[in-house]
Amino acid sequence: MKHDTKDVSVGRPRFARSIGIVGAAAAAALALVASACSPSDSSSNSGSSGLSGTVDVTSIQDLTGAVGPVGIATQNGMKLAEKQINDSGMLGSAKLKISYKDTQTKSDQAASLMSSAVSTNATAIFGPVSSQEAVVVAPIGQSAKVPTIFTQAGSEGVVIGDYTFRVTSPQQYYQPKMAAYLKDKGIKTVSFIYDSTVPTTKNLTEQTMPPLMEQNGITIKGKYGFQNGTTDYSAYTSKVVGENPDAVGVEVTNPEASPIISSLRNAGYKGLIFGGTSFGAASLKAAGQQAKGAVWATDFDPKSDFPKTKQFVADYTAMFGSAPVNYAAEGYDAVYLLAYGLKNASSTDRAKVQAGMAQAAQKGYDGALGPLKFEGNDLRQDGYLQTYDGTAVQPVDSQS
Amino acid sequence: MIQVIADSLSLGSVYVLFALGLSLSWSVLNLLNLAYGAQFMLGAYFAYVIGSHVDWPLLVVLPAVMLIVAATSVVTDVLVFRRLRTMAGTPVESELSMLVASIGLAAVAVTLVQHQTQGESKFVPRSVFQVKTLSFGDKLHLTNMQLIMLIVTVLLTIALAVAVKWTRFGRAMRGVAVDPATCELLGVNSNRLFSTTIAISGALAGLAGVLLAIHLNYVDSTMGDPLLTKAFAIIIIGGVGSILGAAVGGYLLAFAEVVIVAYGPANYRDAIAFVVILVVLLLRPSGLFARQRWERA
Repeated sequence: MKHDTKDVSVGRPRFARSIGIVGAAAAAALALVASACSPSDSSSNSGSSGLSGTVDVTSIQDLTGAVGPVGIATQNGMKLAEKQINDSGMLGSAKLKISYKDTQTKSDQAASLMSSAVSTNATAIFGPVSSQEAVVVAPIGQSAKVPTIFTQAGSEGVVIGDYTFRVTSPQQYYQPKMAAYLKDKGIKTVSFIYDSTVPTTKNLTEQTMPPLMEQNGITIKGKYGFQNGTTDYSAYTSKVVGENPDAVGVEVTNPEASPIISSLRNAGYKGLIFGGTSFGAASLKAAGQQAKGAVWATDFDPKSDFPKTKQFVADYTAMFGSAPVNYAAEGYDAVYLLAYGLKNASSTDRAKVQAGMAQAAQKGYDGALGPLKFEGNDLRQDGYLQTYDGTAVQPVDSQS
Repeated sequence: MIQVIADSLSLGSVYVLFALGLSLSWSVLNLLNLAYGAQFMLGAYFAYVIGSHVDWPLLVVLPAVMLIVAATSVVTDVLVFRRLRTMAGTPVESELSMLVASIGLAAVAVTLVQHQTQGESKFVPRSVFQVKTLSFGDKLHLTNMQLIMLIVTVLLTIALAVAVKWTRFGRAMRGVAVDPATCELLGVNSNRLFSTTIAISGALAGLAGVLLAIHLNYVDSTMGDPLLTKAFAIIIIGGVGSILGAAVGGYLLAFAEVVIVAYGPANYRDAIAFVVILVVLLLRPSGLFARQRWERA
């Protein structure tokens, strides 16, 4: 319907027009003030915060056991975020309080802790990094309708409903970059050594990599899985070296990377070694020069120029005395997803917080990992390629 | 095939080197020490700590670590096991209570190391020992540490077997395990003998910890647990009570595992290996080298 402004303007008294103009100006001024007060991020996750008191949250994390180092790094990132959120007054007068529990990398322990946590007044729960535990814990959180946020835990069966979130992009979304790199390097054949008892590495090797390799004209000569807890890898590395592939993929958890790389080099392998997010300065340090030239795809580049990433690296280093790894960045961004959710909800009601978090995920936000975009409740990233020069991690671009 | 044999000998040496001390305490003293995996881990951990602070070579670090772990073993025997042996009414009660106590001791050691390392994996610095690859054409690659482990394992196995069977000390150890009261009457101080045997077992755990930490290139608070399971298996295959049997069992198990990886479905390595163990036990329930009936010593 055509709006006849001429009729409206002629028909209104002069005083009413003045009131209208003043009112419009006041509203514009208020809008300007409101936008100046909201957090400076690329999204509009800036609901006003009507929260007060303590917002209790529980973290059920692998702090000891096989993936303890991953859990500890994640926890450190979470602690930094918790501190910054409270210090900045992002939640108004409310203070975020995260209670940290240890699953000891045991699924039964994780389930027990989760069952206890959902029956408390915890507004939300952060889940374990291990996929094996996450698939056990996720249904508990979903059925109890408690917002549950995971990092790592890249297998299926983790983001299973509207109350489960993941702030780590599953590796299949940035492994195409790894496959393309191998093709660019003229790699024609690869073999894999992988941990077949961890769902993430098993699915990556058996389901994600084969089609990617095929798309890039790379033949897989063999895939050799070992049980978690294997101590000597000589039999596997000898088998792979005997095949003489152009490159070897090592898809393992954090502590296994260096022993396998050392075993490969000791067995005489001189070709390219590549892997996943479990590679990194901390896990390759033991292999030292034997890991020189190893390449991996990851979701975090600590040398990125992205402002939030740079600030996170500086703040983390100041707080913990060492540079952050990707797990810390993921934990940091996970806490901020919750914080944005709380702010959008202006409440600690679990249903409202879930809706607030879903809103934040839909809009996306800037985090330590970079600009974050979600598909539903699950993060998506293109990732970065990194390499190890024998002493430190470098982005792949600087090596070309 | 030659690389398969070399890998079998290497893996077998890993298993047997780890199991020797456990075999000594279990086979001879009837002490099923579930803290043995933690003692092994402590050996690896102390090697990392010493290597991180001083530039000592392996020949100095190794005896130092063996001494430290032996000392911790003696302390736990004096403070814990000896009291339990004294308080127990029957030998079965004594064995069970020491078994349970060893589980607790292991948990304490693992937790302490986890706390110190923040759960991160560490490694023994290369200043302690530089692992080098010895290549024999394209067909065979071995490291200097794998050769050392093989030689040490064989020599230690023979030395222990001879000591337990033919020395006065060995006879006393076996006697105390069967009937400590009679041994006391014959002038054998059973408590001191027990502590000495525990110390030797601890020293062997420390030795294995250092060498395997260098070979595997990592030190982790939970590194003893998977090897403990394998050690039980090979002691049972070989026959409880036989140190030589445990050594043969270890190399047999290693050969089975390596062959499966080299020629079969690698993912099923552990499953198939334990099927082999099951078959051996069905044919020889007491183990390969056990006597017709299971008797201690």
